[in-house]
Amino acid sequence: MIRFENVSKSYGRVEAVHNLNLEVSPGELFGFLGPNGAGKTTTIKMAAGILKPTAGRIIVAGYDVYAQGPLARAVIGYVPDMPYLYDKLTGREFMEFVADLYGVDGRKSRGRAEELLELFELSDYKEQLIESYSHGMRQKLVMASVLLHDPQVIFLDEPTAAMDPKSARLVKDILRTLCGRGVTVFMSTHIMEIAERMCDRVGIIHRGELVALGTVEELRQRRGEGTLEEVFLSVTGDAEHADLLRVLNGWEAS
Amino acid sequence: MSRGLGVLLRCQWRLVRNAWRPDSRGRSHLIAAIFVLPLFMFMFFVFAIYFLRSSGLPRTGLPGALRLMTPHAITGGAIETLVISTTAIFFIISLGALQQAFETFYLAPDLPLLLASPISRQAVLTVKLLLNVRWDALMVFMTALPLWIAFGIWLRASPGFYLVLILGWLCLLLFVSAVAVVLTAALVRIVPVPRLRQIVLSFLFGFILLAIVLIQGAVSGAWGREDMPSLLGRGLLTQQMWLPSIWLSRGLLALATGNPQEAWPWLAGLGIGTALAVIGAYGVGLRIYAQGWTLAQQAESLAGRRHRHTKAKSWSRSVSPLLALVYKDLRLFSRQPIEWYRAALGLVAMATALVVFTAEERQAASAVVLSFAMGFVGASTFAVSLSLRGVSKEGLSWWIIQASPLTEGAILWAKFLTAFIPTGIYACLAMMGMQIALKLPLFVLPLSIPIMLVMVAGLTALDLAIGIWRADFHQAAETRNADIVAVLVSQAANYFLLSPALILPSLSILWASPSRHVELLRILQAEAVLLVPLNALIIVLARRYSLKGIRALRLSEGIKLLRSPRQRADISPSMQNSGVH
Repeated sequence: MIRFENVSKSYGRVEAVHNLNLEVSPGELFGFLGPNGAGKTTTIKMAAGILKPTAGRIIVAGYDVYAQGPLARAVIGYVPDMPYLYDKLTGREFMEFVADLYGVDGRKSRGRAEELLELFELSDYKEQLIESYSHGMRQKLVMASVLLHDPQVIFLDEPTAAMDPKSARLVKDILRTLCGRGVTVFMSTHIMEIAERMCDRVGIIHRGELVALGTVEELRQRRGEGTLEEVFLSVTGDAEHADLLRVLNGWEAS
Repeated sequence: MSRGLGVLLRCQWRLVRNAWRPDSRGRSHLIAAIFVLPLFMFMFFVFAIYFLRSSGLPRTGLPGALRLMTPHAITGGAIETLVISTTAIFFIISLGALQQAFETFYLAPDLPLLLASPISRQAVLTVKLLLNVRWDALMVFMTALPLWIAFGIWLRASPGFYLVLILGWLCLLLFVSAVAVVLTAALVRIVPVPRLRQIVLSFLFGFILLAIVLIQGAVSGAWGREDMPSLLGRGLLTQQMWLPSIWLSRGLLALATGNPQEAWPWLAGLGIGTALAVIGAYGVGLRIYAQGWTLAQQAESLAGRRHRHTKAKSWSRSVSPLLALVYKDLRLFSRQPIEWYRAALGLVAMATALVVFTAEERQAASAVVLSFAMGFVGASTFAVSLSLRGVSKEGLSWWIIQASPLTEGAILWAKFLTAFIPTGIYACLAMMGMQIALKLPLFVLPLSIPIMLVMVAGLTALDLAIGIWRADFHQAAETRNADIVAVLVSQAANYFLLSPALILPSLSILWASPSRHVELLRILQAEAVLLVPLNALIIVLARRYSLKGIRALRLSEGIKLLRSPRQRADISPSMQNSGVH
């Protein structure tokens, strides 16, 4: 369903993603992990069709994301890490706009939008301008809007970062249900517990390179570590962590 | 200087210094400003010298005009205009300072960090006060200083005049900022901050409009002595001795004419006034600032909940993706008061021109060209919001369009329609108003409208292309100002588009006829022949460039095209080869 073929992306001299090869199957919930600045967001943006790779190609639902841009984007849902929206639209107007943008049938989209707003507990706020929404509410609105056009593949960049526990749980449940219906979910997260409990497979990216790939169980066995967090730290290098502890202990001693 | 103040000032210095780093995002704006600011200064300077020459004010000494200066009234064209301009700038910076005070004291994102730190409130207040002065200083630097420097050079003033000129304006800036601090501290206790911001903005734009009318009227000499604007100009702006701008003007005038003994009382008054305002700002501001800040936070948070029980509206009918983008843009446009002020600005300028230009009987060619020119100039002002910023005003929300299945052609077409429809209506209405005022026969209008629409289409396409060339999406606010380089280039390009129409009155051989009707028809034909092919060519070229530009922007992170070799490398090689630059 998603295939990265030798994908690289450079920003000037800095290579954010290096020769990424990865395949995600239909209905799979894939967790994409990595430290800050590892290349997660760049990878997701490339896959969602909003950033062009310097080399390689990405196939989503059978479409080349660049050669067949509009067709690919019509079946993709994308939730960014920072949900910048149009502040002077109301929640309802934004949902309408997204539905029209993706060409969702009028009557169907309006009914579904109403249900989604209800589901994400935004119904009471739908006539308010988005400028009054909190970060979490914006993220819920984006999440709701993404589900409007029934995407076959959803890319999420830190989807639950700003949500309250109840909403985060709702998103997790929704994603699992969608995967059960054959939708592919590609999600980056910093929260190991989410990756551990939800994802069918995880990939760990470090300094632009995919350094680990497999189910959580496989990674544990391969690395001989106890938890996903320990696996993560061991593949991304926990030297800084040890240094930090040494410095803090030094402060205490002095 | 307290340690806290040192820390804050060092931080501000670093912010200024880092803005020039090659990797800083707003660097190109600063570089553009380096070119634009002196240009503005030079423009005002040249204007002032020209005005002084034409006003009849002698170059040396002051035999004529200044002798008319009495303690109660300043007269003499050049001096009066100088004082009016100074007071107008004073009002503009006062309202600007008020708005800036809200931004820096109550809405700035660094406030929670600063107020939670052990740094004294006094240090915070001092730095914020200096920041306010800095913003207003830019306006003074661009406008008032060149005017007064020209005046000083013209009258061969002593070097001391220039020193006092700078110190005097600094005092005025401090005065204005200090008063703004006290006023805002009091106002936030009564009116919620978001509402207050809108009210201040309204006043600011209202005043700009008034100033434009007054200055344009005064410069063109269209207003008679008994006219209301003239009365306003003389009565309100030059004879109000309580205004600090009058103190500064009178002090500087006396100094420039070699009468320091007359100057010092006015300048001393300004100095004392400034000192009192600053003391007031510290005294009152420090006492009530904390409470005001708390109230402002409450108001911001309440504003979010205010409409919780707004009546639910029914869902609208679905439209095509292209129209969805058009509707969205028009909706956002209609909800930004600043956009309406901009539109009003053009209308008032046109209304002024209407009065000025219709004062005398005009020939047929002049009247037709004038109506085209006014409609087009109005459209050009209006188009800044809709076409020049049409793409870049998506700002940080650009990802929504990037991720959508809309094709680049559809995005461009949507942006074109969003700009063309309102601008076309605006231009046609303005042209119609002008034609009625100039008493042109009715048949001219239906024949002029298609030509005007082609001109507006050319203007829209050109401005869209220029906006795409300078697009920068790193702003969350939809009201962000257009890149100054883009504005200047687009204005120059727009006047280039208009220029063929303007040469027409001089080509009387083409249209001269004893019958006025025949003459008008010939002029309209000539307009069509000159303008339609030119605009059609512009549309074709601008479309080609815009499509490539949108394609590049869609697959990048919203960088400006062609800003630096480093950033150029971010656009893929295939795009660089496609001639996006």
